[in-house]
Amino acid sequence: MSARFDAPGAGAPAKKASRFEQFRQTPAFPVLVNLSLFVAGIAFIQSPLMDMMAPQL
Amino acid sequence: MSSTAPLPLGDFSKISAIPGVSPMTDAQQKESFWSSNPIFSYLNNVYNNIHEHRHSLALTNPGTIENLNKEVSRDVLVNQYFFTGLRADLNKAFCMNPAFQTSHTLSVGSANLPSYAFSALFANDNMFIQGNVDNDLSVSGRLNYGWDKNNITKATLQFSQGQPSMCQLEQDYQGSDFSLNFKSLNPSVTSKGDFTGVAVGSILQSVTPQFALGLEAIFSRGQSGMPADAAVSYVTRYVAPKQDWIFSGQLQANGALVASFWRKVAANVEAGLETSLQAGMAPIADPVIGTPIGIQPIIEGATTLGCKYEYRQSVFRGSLDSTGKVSCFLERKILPTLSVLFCGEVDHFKQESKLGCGLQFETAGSEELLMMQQGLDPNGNPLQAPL
Repeated sequence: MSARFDAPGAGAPAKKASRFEQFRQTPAFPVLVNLSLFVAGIAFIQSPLMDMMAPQL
Repeated sequence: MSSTAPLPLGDFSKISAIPGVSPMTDAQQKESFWSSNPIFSYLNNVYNNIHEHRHSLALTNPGTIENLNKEVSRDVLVNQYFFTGLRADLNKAFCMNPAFQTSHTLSVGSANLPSYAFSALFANDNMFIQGNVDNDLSVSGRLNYGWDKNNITKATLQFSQGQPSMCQLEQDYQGSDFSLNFKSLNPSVTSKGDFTGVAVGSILQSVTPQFALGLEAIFSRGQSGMPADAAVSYVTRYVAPKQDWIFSGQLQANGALVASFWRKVAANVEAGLETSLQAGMAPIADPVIGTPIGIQPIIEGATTLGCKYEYRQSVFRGSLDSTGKVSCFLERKILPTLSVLFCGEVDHFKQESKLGCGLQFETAGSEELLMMQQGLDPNGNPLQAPL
């Protein structure tokens, strides 16, 4: 059978998504990323690095 | 049989009390029937005990739910101040107490700001009135009236062409260790007695001197005969003992979780962090035909880190978020009557950028204010900083 009669997008064999790709599609991924960023942000704001960013007038 | 003295019936004060029954104290004699009868007396005692216990906890007012994360979302982050295109503000202050000020705003190339807007503001110790009108004849007004230091009534009205008009009535009560707020948006009662509109009631209660918990209940009915909707949101706020950092969290009824953190790094530097997660439903499309075949739960989130540097003649705000946006807002006072505004945003993921520039003129409507703007008192002497 000729490939011209295939349904669009059905020609290429579907690649099996990696475990990380599968996890990225779940709602838990944005929750985990943003909570991690929040914790990292607090650690940064409370760190001496932030104190050093304040001008010594 | 012993002889007894005759009872002094003419003078009741000389009659001895019945054993086991003590006469009323002065405080008890002053009480009315409503406070001295056994039921109300018991309830009053319970109330007084609880009140004394609350006093012993040394709780303070936790602020309002509206201002729960004010330090981050209104003071530090750029979003509230951001604009695009060119903008000019001409402000004129006529007097300081009571305050009366008018403002003309001209804007070009902005998606949100109208081309021209006029606003007037009046404020005294108890009242605050503000009115705005723009070139699309959209009119809005606000009135805040403080009945005493604990009670504030607020009314907001908005009329604009092509959009439904809005009326919001609000009552704020600030207790010693809690805040109550009742709000109603477009309230109306039909002939059948049905309430339509939105009604919101909220309470924020201090649990310890640093920690507060609160909830907000929303009741809404769009049209009479339609089923009503109700929801509850939960909030929390923690202020550090030194008041140098604040954490606040909100679990909103629409499925959003907002957490924010604020820190005063130095006298003129503040840093803020805000994370929001929004749960929702998205349609699943058929990969071949493209028609929706179902729905799936999705969660979208964004984290924004911002800082604010406040100097004598300029204020700088900068922020960076997890969606790839870097933005800044700079406000610099060049002259006592002229400020320059600059804001810019670069979206690295979408390859987009926005830019805004503005001028802000402050003119004085009276001789006294003109002298103050130039750093002089009404007699022309230099103003002295209070010691």
